[in-house]
Formats: sequence, structure tokens, C-alpha cells
Amino acid sequence: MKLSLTRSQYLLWAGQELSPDSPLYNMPFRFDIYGKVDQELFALAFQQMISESSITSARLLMTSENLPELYISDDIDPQHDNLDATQWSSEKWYDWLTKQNQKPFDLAVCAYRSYLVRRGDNHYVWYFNQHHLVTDAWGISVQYKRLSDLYSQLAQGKKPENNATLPAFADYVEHEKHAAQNPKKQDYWKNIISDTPPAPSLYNYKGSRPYTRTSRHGYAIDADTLTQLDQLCQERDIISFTADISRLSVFMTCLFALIYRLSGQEHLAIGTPAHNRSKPAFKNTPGPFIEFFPVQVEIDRHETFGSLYQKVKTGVMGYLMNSGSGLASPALSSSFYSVLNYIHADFPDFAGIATDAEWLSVDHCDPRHDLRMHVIDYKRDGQFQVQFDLNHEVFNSEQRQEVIHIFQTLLAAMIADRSQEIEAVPLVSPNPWQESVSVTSTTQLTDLLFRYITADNDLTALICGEERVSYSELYQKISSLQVKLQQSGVSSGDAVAIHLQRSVDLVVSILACIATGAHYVPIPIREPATRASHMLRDSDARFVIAEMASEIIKLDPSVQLISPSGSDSQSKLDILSSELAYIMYTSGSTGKPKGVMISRDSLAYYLDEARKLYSPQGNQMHMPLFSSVGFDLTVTSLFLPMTTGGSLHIYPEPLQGPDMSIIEVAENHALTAIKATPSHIQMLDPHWHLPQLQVLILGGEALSSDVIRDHAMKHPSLRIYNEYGPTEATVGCIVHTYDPTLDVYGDVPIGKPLSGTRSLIVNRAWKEQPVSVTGELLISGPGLAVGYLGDEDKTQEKFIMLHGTRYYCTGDRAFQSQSGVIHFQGRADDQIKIGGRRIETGEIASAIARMDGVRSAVVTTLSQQRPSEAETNCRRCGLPSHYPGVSFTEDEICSLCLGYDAYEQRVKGYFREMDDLKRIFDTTERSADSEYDCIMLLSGGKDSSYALGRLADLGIKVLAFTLDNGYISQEALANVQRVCRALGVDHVFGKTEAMNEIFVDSLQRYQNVCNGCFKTIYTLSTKIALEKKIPYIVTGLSRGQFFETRLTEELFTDETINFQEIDDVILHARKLYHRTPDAVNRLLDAEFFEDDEVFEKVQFLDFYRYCDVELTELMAYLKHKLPWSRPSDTGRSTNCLINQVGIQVHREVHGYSNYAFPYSWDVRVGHKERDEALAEVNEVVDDAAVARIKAEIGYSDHTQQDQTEQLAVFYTSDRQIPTADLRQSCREALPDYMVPWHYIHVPEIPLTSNGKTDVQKLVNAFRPTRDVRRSIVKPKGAIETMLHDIWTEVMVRDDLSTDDQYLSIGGNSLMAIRILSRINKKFRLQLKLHTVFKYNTIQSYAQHIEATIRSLMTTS
Amino acid sequence: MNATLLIDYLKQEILHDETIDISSSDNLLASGLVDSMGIVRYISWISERWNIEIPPQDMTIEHFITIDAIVAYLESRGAL
Repeated sequence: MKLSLTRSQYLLWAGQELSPDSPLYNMPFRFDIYGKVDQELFALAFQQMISESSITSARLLMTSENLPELYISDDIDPQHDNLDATQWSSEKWYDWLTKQNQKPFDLAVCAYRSYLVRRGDNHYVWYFNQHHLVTDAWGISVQYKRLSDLYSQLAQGKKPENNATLPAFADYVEHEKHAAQNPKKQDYWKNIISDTPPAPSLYNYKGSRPYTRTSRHGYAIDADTLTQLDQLCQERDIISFTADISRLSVFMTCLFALIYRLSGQEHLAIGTPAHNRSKPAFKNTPGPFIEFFPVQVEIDRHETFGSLYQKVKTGVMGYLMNSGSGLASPALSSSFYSVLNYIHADFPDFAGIATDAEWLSVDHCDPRHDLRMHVIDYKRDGQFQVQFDLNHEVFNSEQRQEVIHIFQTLLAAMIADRSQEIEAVPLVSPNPWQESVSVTSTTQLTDLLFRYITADNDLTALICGEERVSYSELYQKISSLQVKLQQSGVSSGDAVAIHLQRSVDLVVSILACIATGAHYVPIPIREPATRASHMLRDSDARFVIAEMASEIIKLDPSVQLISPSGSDSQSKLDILSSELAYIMYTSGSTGKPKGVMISRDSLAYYLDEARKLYSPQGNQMHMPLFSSVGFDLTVTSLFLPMTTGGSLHIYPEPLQGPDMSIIEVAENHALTAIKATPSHIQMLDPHWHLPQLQVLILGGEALSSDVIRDHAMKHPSLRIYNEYGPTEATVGCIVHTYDPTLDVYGDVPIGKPLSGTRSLIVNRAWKEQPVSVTGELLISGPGLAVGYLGDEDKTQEKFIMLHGTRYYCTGDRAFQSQSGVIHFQGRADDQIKIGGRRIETGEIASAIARMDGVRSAVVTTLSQQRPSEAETNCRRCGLPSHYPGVSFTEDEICSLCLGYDAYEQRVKGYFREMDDLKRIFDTTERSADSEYDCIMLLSGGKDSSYALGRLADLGIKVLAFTLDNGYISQEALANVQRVCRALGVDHVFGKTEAMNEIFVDSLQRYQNVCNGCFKTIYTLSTKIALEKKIPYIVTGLSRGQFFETRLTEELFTDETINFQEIDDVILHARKLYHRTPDAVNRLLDAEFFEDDEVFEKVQFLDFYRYCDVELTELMAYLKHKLPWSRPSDTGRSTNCLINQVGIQVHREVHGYSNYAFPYSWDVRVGHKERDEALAEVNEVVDDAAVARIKAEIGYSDHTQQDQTEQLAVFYTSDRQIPTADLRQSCREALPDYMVPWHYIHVPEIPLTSNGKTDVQKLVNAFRPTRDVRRSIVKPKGAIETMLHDIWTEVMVRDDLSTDDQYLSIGGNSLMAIRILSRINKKFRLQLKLHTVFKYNTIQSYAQHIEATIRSLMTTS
Repeated sequence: MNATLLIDYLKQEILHDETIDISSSDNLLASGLVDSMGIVRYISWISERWNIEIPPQDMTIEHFITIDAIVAYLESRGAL
């Protein structure tokens, strides 16, 4: 008989094909029978059992189409032997068992083997090994029980009857075909597969799971625990339909907890089998029925055992309801990496003789499965055992022991208190060395620093350009400056700010401060003024050492300026002590920089350790000073040379432009050691030649092995150190000696703590992580800072007491290897979460950086990136410094203001007089059947109320229109009505049912509500104007709003454009604006805009183009002429309550208010005061009201985030690399969810002033607006290429296709102006603006240019 | 009527044994009469037969311990 394979058999066959030599699917059992067994009767019983169990004798053959098929012969020839092993040593016995277990089956011949082994007179072992292709554990139980029954009958002299009524496995194969046809179940599993979690990295295992080797570790659950488990399963929140379901769910909860604790992954799946013997008849049929199905959970922060249990229960119910025969698929069976096998099979005594059953481990498993956990109770006596098959690739031998221990710990914790958090269970007992040991440095800082600085040491101490300073000269300089400092009133414990270029004076000043008992506060000369001013104030520095000409004093006139040039007096250096060495400012991720107070003891400790490490023989160290003095990395360079009697080579920073001192450093042959960031080293060609250089210390950021490899190869004798340390732990506290043979992939480890420093890696509940599991790195030791100056709360938060020891919480993620070496895993903040999956950006970056041609890569998300805080606001207009595309000068003037200076006069020309407005109305004939000259859009605010009043003053017949969007303040509405009544103006409200939907659309598209509202107003008012034949609609837009929506600086810098053209462009843009599909276009009746004539019948006039009124004058007019009063129930900038939702959403996404830009223009054109604008822009929104309104209109932040959350990579390369190639390589190296969405080529990766990658700068320069996974048509020919370049530059995107429609990719009239002015310049043409809209793709515009040029040539 | 329908299906399709005597107040679960898979298949059928979604949080012992309990649950869901 031929039998096709079931779905699960097919998967087993395929799995075996993939690992042909592995015994991974062998299922050997041994049954120890403690009594006498008659071998002949046993063989007879076996013969009958096997002949009844037809599937067991099946042979696997290939069909002519090369598909597997099972062949069952009618003549079954049972394979069974007797073996006498009574004389065997236990060693020989186990060797035999292992060999039998692991011997592969030739499935074409026979898929089982059976032995009755005599071990003693009253001890027989039935060894029965089958391939999984023909059985499952239940099936073996069926065979065993039948064998026992047959043997009993034979022993009693009966002739057992053949069990002919039993359905054969063949019946199940038929049954499966129908059972699988269940759409509901199929949908359920389809849905589960669509959300398959990634492989969890247990113990940080990130390999590809190639091997099948495992070993089994287990334990019997003790009696007490069993009793407690039974009780637990009776609890109201735990009890399920059957005790088995409850127990399965408890075990699964603990297994999920284990995987979570060992991987940190929150979205997890466990595979668990369904027995599939759903029809009672199948309950006694041998054969492979089981199929595996996944149960998924998402673990939350603060998840308790109890709350996780409820999720597991839901998952288990779903699995039980939807599992069934024939539903298995490759996708389902590869959707989990751990298995929980709750085995139902039972094995009672054999023919009344006491028997123990054991499923032997073949020590090989499906390579996909990191771990399999079996729960067994073969005797059905409630004595449960737990066994783990653990893959050797994933778990080393210590970890295999630890897993069992951790599972027991978690199970005990759940039983003891299921309301406790899973994170809070200690898995590792605290090491004894964690007990507080007080280590204090015995070395005085001043002893270290001034050891060589003496009046008679002629060695060179400092070199700066041509200037050389010996130690004795340095001594004199310091002592003479000390006199000056003391005369100025500096005394012990004072803070002295130092604001100097890198120079001899800088070093002298720092040393003089220290000698005088003061602590120094470095303020680099290029520090932005706001930051510098904050540092001055915050540090309470009463003195600042700076050049006399320095402007720093203007920041705080109460500070005393001391010039670094010393007095001429020769005096003896007086060395005073004090607590602090320096205060270093670190930029907090949010808000203001924090001052870190470093004690003299901490600095002495670091320098002492660094000297021992980097100059173990006590050799002089000659080092360069070339990095920012405001960065604690530089402390090493600054002080180490003088602690060894070596020299410091000083490289002054340029006052402007990038600091490329590292290039000069790499040419200085005198140097013996360099301290730098990996980014610095990346700037160097590895062929540098520094014959004396012995030591390279890298710090400040993660060191990728890719960055250092070439340098290390070219300079094999160089000692390279990776030094880790936050400012709060004094420069460096953990150091690794780079080993080119071991540190090959990914980031170089950060190594081991300096002697006296201790590290601890903990989870979020402060519980220590097992070895190899990632957590937050905590540091303790003499290097720990005193705290944050003036910020006790922050100090308390970051410096904590744990096990009686003070630790600093670094916010860095790391794990420790077995050997104690610590591996940095990125900032906690660098972890990106997309779709619930945690992603390490570093991992992606190094995958891309490995590609041929790519030099460096930085990965981030473009949406989740928290918008940066403004460092400052333009001193003139108030525009925030992080407004995209705008640069700031040193004195904090924005580029828009600077540009405006140049074309201010032309802008003025664009604006008109009130008389011009009057003339428009005077010259327009009102049609006979129209009552009104114009519609005035009246919001009820001050600007539109004033405009209405002035129109009425002119004697113009106005119909006032107000949109009632449902959120206009009551007082504003009252204003509207009072003002209209007082002026005798007719008034009408507009309203739409679709308002809320429009708000949501506007928030999603533009992160404000105003755009949606404006478009609604224009649409509804135009409709009225058409109906009532009104020729004009007057807006109350401010001049600032013109620049937001209509005008751009190019309009005025490009002198070839006249004002009529500007108006044409605006009109053209308006047409397109109304025809753009969005919520307004879709939900309101807006079809009339399709007709071009509408725009002639109804024209828009902006009142404030014609009226230039001072705020005071405007307010006076409102006060005296109109019954208008300032609403008290809204923010100051608006009369609309929903507006603050827009402000909040915009601030959250972009980091600044949607009013920041238009208000800056109001200020620039003189319509608003800067302070007033800033106050309005920075106004606090009422979070509760915002949340309420969001709920009312049906806006949720979530939908917005989902749309925009995308991985992006910024990279530099030697050559042009097609994005498709980059994406393809990523697909090959990374799981799908880690493949970046955007690939952005940048000429260079910008660095912060501290030499670290400036991710924010990259992000600010680029904001994606659409799907880039589409086909891109590349430019052809010179014209298209030039146009493509222009579009790319103006629209700031790298993915333009030459068939992209201008508007559909976010083009607007502002960009059109920029594009056109560039085109006209480049091609020396005078093309008109509307052509950009008319010929709206790169292709068609290129044709237009070609045609234009051709016609010009023929006419000339 | 509904109880009879429930009992008949239980006997025929879940237990595959029509000789068993089951009353509407018999404990279906504690006695081991119906196993884990069985009860879940039973619930599955009930959900389809009366056309209601039975959410996992409703899959409690109280609702399915006896035929009477099942009838009460169906009534509470407005299915009967």
C-alpha cells in the first residue's frame, strides 16, 4: 500500500533532508522492566503489535516525480532482537545505548529498531527506537500498552485476537485532507503568522542556528512544589477547564518569563504540539499525529506572572480552538524558536511488572529550536518531571545548567507570589565582591600634576606651533598667573571659568586654577553663546579666564574677567588643596546641559590608573591636545603627559569652520600616544606614519572593529585601547586592549573595569543580569562624580545606592562575557522599537558598513527621533535654531533674517497701500444682482476684526463669514456678533459635518489643525461667493502667514520675477491646492474648483497686503471703535480652542510650534515684537484639554506614528551605489524588520563639537514624505540630469523619479520658485513660474526646455 | 430543548459514545469526562451553532462546567 505524507510528515522529511546525518528525529525509548521477561513470548507479542501497527513498518520511497511517499508492505517482517548484557559494565551499556540512539535510520529500509536486553535476572530493558516519521510519543504509548497486553495474554496461555477494528494510520491520512479545510482555523493561523516575532537572542546568541547538537537537562519537581502547583491551579484566576490546561499554561508562563529574562525581547512565541487524535478511534492508533502550533505573547513593562498568565491563557485557548490536523505549514513551524511539549503519553507497568519508562535523548534537535522543554508524567501519578533539550550553539555548558536553575527560580516565584513583576525576580545571587569595599586613591592630584613642573626642569612641557615651553618656564607661568588669580580674589573652592583657544595659556590657566585650589569650568571658545552663558551662571563661576577682547563677559557682566597673561613677578608656586578638580558640562538628551562635578581624588584616581596602564614602564608620554577642552575625553591628553614628564603638543582650534586638527596630529612624529574618538580615526588614511607612536587610546563613542581593523593591520606594534567611561565616572573606567585576532566583528568590547572600579549589569528592576545577558551598565568606584551641580534630583536619579554601594547608572546597555569582559551594546536611547521589536541600530550600521564601497553608516529612525530642543532662538526674529534648512551665525542671527536684509526693499514693494485696496473695489462693478462687494473671512480675532472694521470704514459692502468649527471660543463668537452688529455688517456662519474628519486628516498630514480649517473656510466661502455672485474674498492673513503659505525669499532675490508673476504663481498654486485630494476635497462639495473660471469669478485679496498697521494702533482701534474684547477663554494667539491640539502635535513631531515660522516672518516684516511672538509660540498648552479634544475628534497619536515610523540609514561612500543594491545587501544580511526603509547618501557624517556623530543634524536635514519602495525612473540626457539635480536639491530628497508628478511628491509654490530661479540661472532662460506646474514632471519639463531652446535658436 | 441539543452533540461528536447517560447538571470537567481538546472543540461548535463570538476571557469553568451552565451562559449572551 502506498501512502502520501501528511503535512507534518512532510515537514519532518524535509527537516531530515536538511540535516541528513543528524539523528534529530530519532525517538528512542527504554523501558526498564524489573522482573523476569520471557524472550520468546515477548518476540511473539512484538510481532503481533508491529503487524497491527502498519505505519511502523512503512518505508520511505521517492516517486518518479521525486516526491516522498510511504510504502507499506502486506508482508510485515518484524525487526526485533534479544541481547544479553548481563555482563556489560555500565560504561559499555551506555555506549551501546548512545550508539543505538544516534544511529540514523535508512528510511527506505526500516524506520525502527527493537531490542529486548537482559541486564540481570530480574531486569530487562526493552529498547525501542523509531523515527519520528512513523510515530509520536502518544503512538509509542499506544504500542507499549498493546505490547504489554499481548504479552500478558500470551503469558496466560491465551491466543490474543488481532485488533482488526482499530483504524489504521491510513485512515488518518484521509481524515487530514478534510480536516484541514477549515477557513476559520486557517485564517486564525494566517493572522498569527503575519505577526511572527523575531528570534529572541537568548544569552545574546545572534547566530544562524546551523547545528542540531543539544543536550538534555532535567529535574523532577519536588513534592512541595507539586502540592503548591496543584493549589495554584485551583486559584480563581488560574483555574482552567482541565488541570492539564491550567498546568500547561503555568509552565508556559514561566517559560515565556525565562525567554524574556534571557533575551529582553518582548514579543515572543512558543511552539506547542496538538495531539490531533480528535476522534476517539484514533486514540489507540500508532503513528505521527502531532503538529506544532505557536502561542504568542507581548510582554509589557511591569508584567507580572499573573498578568502574563492571562495572556498565555488567551493564547492557549486560541491554540486549542484552532489547532487541528493538516494545518501545519513551514511558515507556522518556523514561527517559534522554543518548544513546550506537555506530554500526554503514559506508560504504566509492563504486564503487571514494575516498569520505568524513559524517553532517551539523542542529543540532537531541530536546529531552529534554541530550547525544548518537556513536561512528563509517564506514570500518571502527578510526579511531574521537567526536561530541557538545549542547543549547544546557543547555550554553553554553564548556561545549560543555569537555564534549569532559572526556570526553577521563576516557577517558585510564580507559585509564591504571582502578583510580582517578572523583572523583579533575582536570577543571580549577588557576588560577594559586590559588598561595599571602600577604595580611595592615595595619590594627591597635585602630586601627580606638579611632579615634573618644577623651577629647574628643563625638559619640554608644551609645544604649540613655534612656541616651546619647558617645565621650568611652565612653572614660572603658572606661579605668576597664580599671583594674579589670588590678587583678583580667587581662593580655594572657587569656580573659575576658562574660555580660551587651545593654547599654552589654556594649559597654564587650568594648572594655575588647580594650584590655587579652584576648580576649572572649561567653556570652549566656540561654544554657542546661550550654552556658554548657561554654563557661566550654572557653575556660579565668579571669574573667567579669557582674552581681554573676549565677548564672554557680555554674557554675564557680574563675572570678573582675568586675562591669562601672568604678571611679571617671579614667585614660588603655592599648591593648595580643595575638593573639586573641574566641572564638565554634558549635553543632556533633553533640556539644558548638566554640570558634572569631578573631585580631585576622582581625577587623581583616573590619571594614576591611566598612567599605569598606558605607560607601564613609566616612559614619558608625548601627546597631542587637539580635541575640545569641554569634552572629558580631552582630560587624558591634557594631563597624562605632565604626569610622566612628557610633552603636550597643542593644536589650536580654528575660530570658524570644521576642526581638522587630527590631520596635523597624524603628521607629528614626536608623538608617543594619542587619545581620540573613533570618528577622528575614521578621518585618517590608515597609511599614516608616526614612528614613535606606541599607544592609541580610543574613547567617547562605540568602537567598531571595521574602523580600527586597517589601522591595526598597518601598525602591528601599536597598542590600541578602547576606553569606556561616562563623564560622570571621570573620563574612563573600563578599558579593553584591542586584539586584532579576536575583536573581528561588530563593536570592539569595552573590556574590564580599572582596578578599584566595579561594574554591574542590571535589568529594569535593578536585578543583576546573568552572564551574557544585556542590561544597563552601572559603575561604582573612586572615579564617580560628586554629582550634578545644583541638581540634586538628577543626582539622586542617576547615582543610586545598591547593595550598600554607590553606583552611577550609565544609561548604556552592555553585557558581560564569561571571562568578565564587558561588551557595549549601545545607549538605551539608541534602541529603536518598530512594531514592538527592539532594534539595535549599530547592528544595521555595521552590516551596511561592511559593504564594498561604503565608508561609514549611521542608522536611525526618521519619525521616532525625538525632535531636538532649540539651542537658541534667532536674536532678531525668534526663529528656533533647529528649524530645518536654516543656519545661524555665531551671534545667533538666522539665515532668513540675514537674507531678508538684502531684499527687504523689494518685499516692501510687494506690499501696497490701503488706497490700492480701495481702488480695486472702486473699479470693480458690482453686478446688479449681488448685494455685496466682498466676503470678509472673520475669525473673531483681533486681526480679522480690525480688517472688517476698516473695510466697513471704506464704505465697502461686506458679508462677514465665520467658520463654526465647533471649537471657536464663546467669547470670540460674542465678539463676532457684537462687531458685526456695531458695524451693521451682515454675517453668516459656515459649518460642516465633516469637520472632525478634516481635523484628523490635517493633523496627520501637516501636524496642525489650521491647514484643514483654512481649506474648509476657503471652500465654503467660495461656494457662497459663487452663489451670491460676490467677486472678492478678503482674508485676514498676517504678513507672516503670507510667507508661510505663499511667498518665498527667491521671489525677491530673483530680480527677473515681477509682482504680477508672483500673483500668477499664487493663483496657479491655489488652483492646484483646491484640487489636491485630501479630506476637504473628498468630504466637502468642492467639484466647482475643477472649473478654471471659478478663480476669475471669485478672487482672493489679503487685507494685510494693503494695510501696514502697528500693533498698538490696531489695539487702539479695536478699543475705541469696536465693541471687541480680548477673549479670556483661549490662548493669546487664537480664538479657537482646538488650535492647541495642533500646536501640541506639531511640537511633538517637529520640536517647535507650527507658529514658529509665520511668527518669525511677522517679526521680520515688523508686524510683531520678537518677545511677543516668542511668548505666543512658547505658550503652554493644556494637556488635559488637548487629550479630551483628540478623543472628541477621533485622533490618536498611534495612527500617526505607525504611518511614519521608518528606519533610515545615512551613509558615505567612495562611489555611487544604487539604493536597490544597498537594500538587497541588507536583505541578505539582516532580518526583514531590520532592513532600512530610507538610504540617504551624504557627503560626510557630521560630528558634534566633541567629535561624536551628530545624528540630529543628519535627521534635521532630511524628512521623508512617502514610500520609496517603488520603481524609480532615472534621468536621461543632460537636461533631465540637470533638472533632476535641481529638484533633488530643492526638495531635499534622493529618490526622485523623472516621472514623478510635481504636486504628488510634495511640491508647492515655494519650491517651484526655488526650482525655477535655479533653472533660469543654469540654462540662461527666462521661463515663467507657472510652467513648473504645467510641465509637472522632470521629463516633461525637460522637453519644454528643449523646445524653448530650439525655438530661441531658430528665431535668432 | 437546547439542553438536549447540547447533550446530543456532546455524546455524538465529542465523546463518540451515545450510550453514556448525561444529565444537564453533570459536571463535565471534574469527572474527566471531557478532555482539554474535547471541551475546546465543544466550545468551538457552540460558538458556531449559536453564532456568537466566545472571547477567551469568557472561557471559564463557571460558564462550561455543566450543560445548565452553558445554557445560562448562552442566555446571558442573548443567544437563546
